[in-house]
Amino acid sequence: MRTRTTLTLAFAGGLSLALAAPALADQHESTVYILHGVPDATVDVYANGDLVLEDFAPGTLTDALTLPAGEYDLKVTAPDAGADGEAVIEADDVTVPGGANITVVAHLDESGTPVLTPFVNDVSGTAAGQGRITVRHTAAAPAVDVRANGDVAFPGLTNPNEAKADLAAGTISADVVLAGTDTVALGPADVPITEGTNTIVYAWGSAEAGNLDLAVQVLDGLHSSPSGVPSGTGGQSGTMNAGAVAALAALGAAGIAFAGTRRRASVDA
Amino acid sequence: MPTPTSVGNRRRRAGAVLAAALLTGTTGYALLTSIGPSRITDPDTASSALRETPTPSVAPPTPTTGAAGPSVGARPATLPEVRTPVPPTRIVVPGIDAELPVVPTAVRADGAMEIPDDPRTAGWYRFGPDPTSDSGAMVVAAHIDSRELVGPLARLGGLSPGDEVLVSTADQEVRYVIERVDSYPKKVIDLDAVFDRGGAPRLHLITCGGRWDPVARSYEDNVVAVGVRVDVP
Repeated sequence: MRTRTTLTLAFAGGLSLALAAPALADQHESTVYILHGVPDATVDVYANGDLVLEDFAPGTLTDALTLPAGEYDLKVTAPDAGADGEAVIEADDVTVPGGANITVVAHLDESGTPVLTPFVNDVSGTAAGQGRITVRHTAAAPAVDVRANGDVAFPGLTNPNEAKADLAAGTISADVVLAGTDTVALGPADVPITEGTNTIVYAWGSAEAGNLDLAVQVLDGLHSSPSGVPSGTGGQSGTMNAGAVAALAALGAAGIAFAGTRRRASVDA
Repeated sequence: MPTPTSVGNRRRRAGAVLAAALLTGTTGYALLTSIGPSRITDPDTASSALRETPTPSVAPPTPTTGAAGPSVGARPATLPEVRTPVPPTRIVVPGIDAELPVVPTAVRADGAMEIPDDPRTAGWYRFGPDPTSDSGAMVVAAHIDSRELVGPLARLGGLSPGDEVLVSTADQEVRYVIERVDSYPKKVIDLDAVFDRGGAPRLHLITCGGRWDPVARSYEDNVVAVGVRVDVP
């Protein structure tokens, strides 16, 4: 397909709406982000021959792009090389499915060769009070274990793979060690588990070059509501309904005094 | 100032006296039904009752860069600045002579909103909007009662549109004006509307109501007072 592709910017508000209500998302297009995780190379990015990104620096992430579903020829070049310039990375016929949320990562494979890897982001709803953490290995480095608060949470993660979990909202101290060892490759870093949010952490760079680093992408609006508001213990009387309780309270509010006390039946302080 | 224990004892005595009086007749219940909030049982009406009411003071959301072009924006892939929540610490409802300290609460193991055991203390759903949020419904809830006593929000149904609610934070007071007070069967209430994080900044002040179900050990209804935020000093 060599038809000209129209790239449109998604407004932030529209995006969060789409994330909050995936069922409403157009099944003919997808939300796509691009992350640059190749050290030391500022680049331009083309999709089907059209310039999408200029002077894209390592460690940066694009805003959301809305792309029609289809196949794309992606090409990464040196700055100002032009659409026909020499490719730093090239990937033809990359399939963008409909109705998905994707991050395409330009990164080094385990041996240090620049590649493009599309990851599908989990934007399904999170339970009330929980957030999601996703870790992605996109570094020229061997298998690693990702530890949370000192314990191995995701063992044996290899390039270019991911692991994820939904956890109670809070903060974890995360680090990355060479698989099966205590040799710290990255971190520790405090990682917030934000309620209703998928926090995606990428390890990128090269172990050999000594420039391993972390990149973070945050997708919010995934929250769910609690399952109820159970606001009566009912101990006041197991047989009384809330009406009578409220009547008691109303009488109390009216300032009626009772034998033996001047306190109200209800409490107002 | 009586000690908490003596207050509790007196309250229990008072409650027992009143309960005895009420259970011997129906006057109390008749009184209540005349002052109770309207009960909404139709699901669609229940949803729309709690969806946001547009207020003219709220500016429409400003679109981010609308520039369509060959290039898309990019930013450093670092943790974004996260807004620190501003917890409410106290809620005062003069119309029903209620004043409650407010504590942040989360979610119970069964997925329901966590609410302080003591009906004299309200819980604020800390994952949702707070008193200074740009949008959405701040949810504050307290038990109607406990084994020992009736809480101040038992009078929530007596609140009227136009009544004000004052919510304190550590360093300011935020004012809400009540727009409506209704009760909803728990099977019908639209929880996504209750906990809506979008729309105009507002307050959903909640307690229980309706019949006590001794098997489920819960009341049949939720009473919800909706307040629109009128100013943040």
